[in-house]
Amino acid sequence: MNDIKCSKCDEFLVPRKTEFDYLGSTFSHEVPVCPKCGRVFISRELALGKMSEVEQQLEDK
Amino acid sequence: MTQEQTQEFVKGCIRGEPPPCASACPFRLDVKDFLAKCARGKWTSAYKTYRNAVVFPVVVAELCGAPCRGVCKLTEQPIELSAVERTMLSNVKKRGADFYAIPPKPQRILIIGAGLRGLACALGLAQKQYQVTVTDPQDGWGGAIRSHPKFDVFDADFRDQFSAVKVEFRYGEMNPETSGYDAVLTAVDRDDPIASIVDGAADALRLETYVQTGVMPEAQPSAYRCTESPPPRELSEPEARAESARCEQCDCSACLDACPMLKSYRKDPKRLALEFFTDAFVNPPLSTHSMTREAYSCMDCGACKAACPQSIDLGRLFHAYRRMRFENGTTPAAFHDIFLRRMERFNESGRVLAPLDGSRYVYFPGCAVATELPDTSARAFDFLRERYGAGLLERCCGSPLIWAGVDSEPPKLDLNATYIYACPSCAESLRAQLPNIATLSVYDLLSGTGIADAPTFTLFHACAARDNHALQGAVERLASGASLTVNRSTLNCCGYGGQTQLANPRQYRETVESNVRSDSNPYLVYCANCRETFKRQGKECYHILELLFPAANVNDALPLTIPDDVRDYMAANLILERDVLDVIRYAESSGEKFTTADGSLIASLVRGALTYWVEYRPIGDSFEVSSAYYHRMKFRQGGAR
Repeated sequence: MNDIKCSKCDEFLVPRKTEFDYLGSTFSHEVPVCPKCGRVFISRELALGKMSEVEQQLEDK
Repeated sequence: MTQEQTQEFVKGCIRGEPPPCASACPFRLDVKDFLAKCARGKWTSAYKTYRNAVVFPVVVAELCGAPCRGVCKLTEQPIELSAVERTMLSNVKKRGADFYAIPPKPQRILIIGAGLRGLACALGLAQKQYQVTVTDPQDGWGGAIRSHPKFDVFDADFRDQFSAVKVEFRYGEMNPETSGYDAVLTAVDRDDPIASIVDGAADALRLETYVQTGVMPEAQPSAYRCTESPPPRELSEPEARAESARCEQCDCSACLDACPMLKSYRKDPKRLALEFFTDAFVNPPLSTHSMTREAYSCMDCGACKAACPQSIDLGRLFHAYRRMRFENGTTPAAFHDIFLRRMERFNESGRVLAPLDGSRYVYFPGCAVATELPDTSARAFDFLRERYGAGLLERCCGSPLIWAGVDSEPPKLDLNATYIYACPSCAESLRAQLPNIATLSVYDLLSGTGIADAPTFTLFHACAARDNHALQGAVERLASGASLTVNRSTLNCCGYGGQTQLANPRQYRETVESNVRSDSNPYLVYCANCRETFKRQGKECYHILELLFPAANVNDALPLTIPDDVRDYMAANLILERDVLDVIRYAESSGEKFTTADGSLIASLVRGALTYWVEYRPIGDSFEVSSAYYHRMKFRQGGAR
């Protein structure tokens, strides 16, 4: 995370609590974010790992 | 969705209903339960099951003509139930009746006639503690069977069954005094001893209703007529257990056997209907949906209906539920989003051409043929325009909307035109939405063209053509020039039906793999979705149109370099190259992207219900893609600090 930069702001990303929505549920999780513009970065590992798990759990409800 | 509505979808389902043997039994003996107990050697338990159904077990085991035999599914060697019954009686240790500890009832009931009917009625009432008196002009009980050579064992059976109840028997009375009783029944035996017992047991229930309510229900005499049957074999205990174990415990499982989805969820139709009903009344957060995955896993292929002896189409139940979720705004959008966006794109970019003067034909290729086989489809259209003056309508038939449960208008079509479809799903969908529409398959118009020098294929029929025998025939005629092995047996869904791939990836993968494995020949298909599905799995597969109108090698590749592993991942997750290029172009024009330490770029773009991410490097005018993925959750971009 420390080696990823926001191309527009030229700032290294920092962990920040971010809100997520899916199928009517809202929750927050710490993800890398540009400290200047607030642009959120979701890594492949997160998207296909934890996020996918939670998505499936919510879809089963 | 009310319970009545969901039950209506499975009305007539015979799963869980008594099997043919139990239905044929005049006593409706639970044959499966009885034989299961006998197979385990639980003779006392089996005896109770048997006695509770037949009233006088020794009499019935001796005299019953075993109508169950004639309806047993094991037609070559039906279960010998009579023989098992006799072995059970020989092995049961305690034959006495059970005592029911219920308070005595004051009503006095007189039964005139101590034949089988009168005895069965008296026993039923006495077990419920009514004050029962039985009279008979003869010197003892049994009526007509008093002269039977085995009356001594029947007599013992009567004594056993009456051992736990109190009944007053008065013999030798020609005209008994009937006053002082709450009910009097003249119990005349039927010609058939079994029918007499059945009627007597029913009389007991009728009389009880009468003394409790004052209303006597009408008698419904048993229609049973004992037929001559060969005397049962003598079976030893191990033989009787083995014979009982041969019972297949019949129950209808036709739909569960035919559908991989129903099989994996192990839910029978009535249970599905009940669960869809209860699911329709969830009240988040107190309760949550439990049927979502099932509901969006139906491939809508009609396999259940084709297999069902009652022709029940469970797809209608699943569809009604998806429609309900759409109407109350709780559709899991990500399941169908990709397909619906593809449909919208096709509807926006598809071509429309009027027929030539004098022609009423309009070629309706459908999205799959037009986008997966664009050059072939264009050449087919050229042929149809030249030969028949056909017009062209590249519009969606509406199948993706139906599968997603979206409430939509049918496609706007000219009801005076005849639409020439190429896709079996289009034909089915158009017919369902516009019953008066005139349609014809493109394969009808191409008949006789033939395919020269074709290798041996297996023709994989489309599930959407299951009931469209004309289409199946047209394709078979068209392919007759090829050396075909016609695979008529399956009509299974290739895996694409219902567009369940994103809702249930495991089911999709297993279904496709099973179809791919089931035949080693290359597949010849006439549904472009089957083609796309099989080719993605590495199966050699051709659409019959591409053999008739081979595509020219056109280079319409996008400016992307994608390694095979990334390409495979994209295909499995329905990520199009076009989606990838959209993300890159947006990132390049807006500058909204991330840079990694090794200099590659990562960007995202929200498309419908999905957020796509692409990792890439610009190389000249092209882009080298090292990763593409998406997630379904939406995040809120943080504000600038």
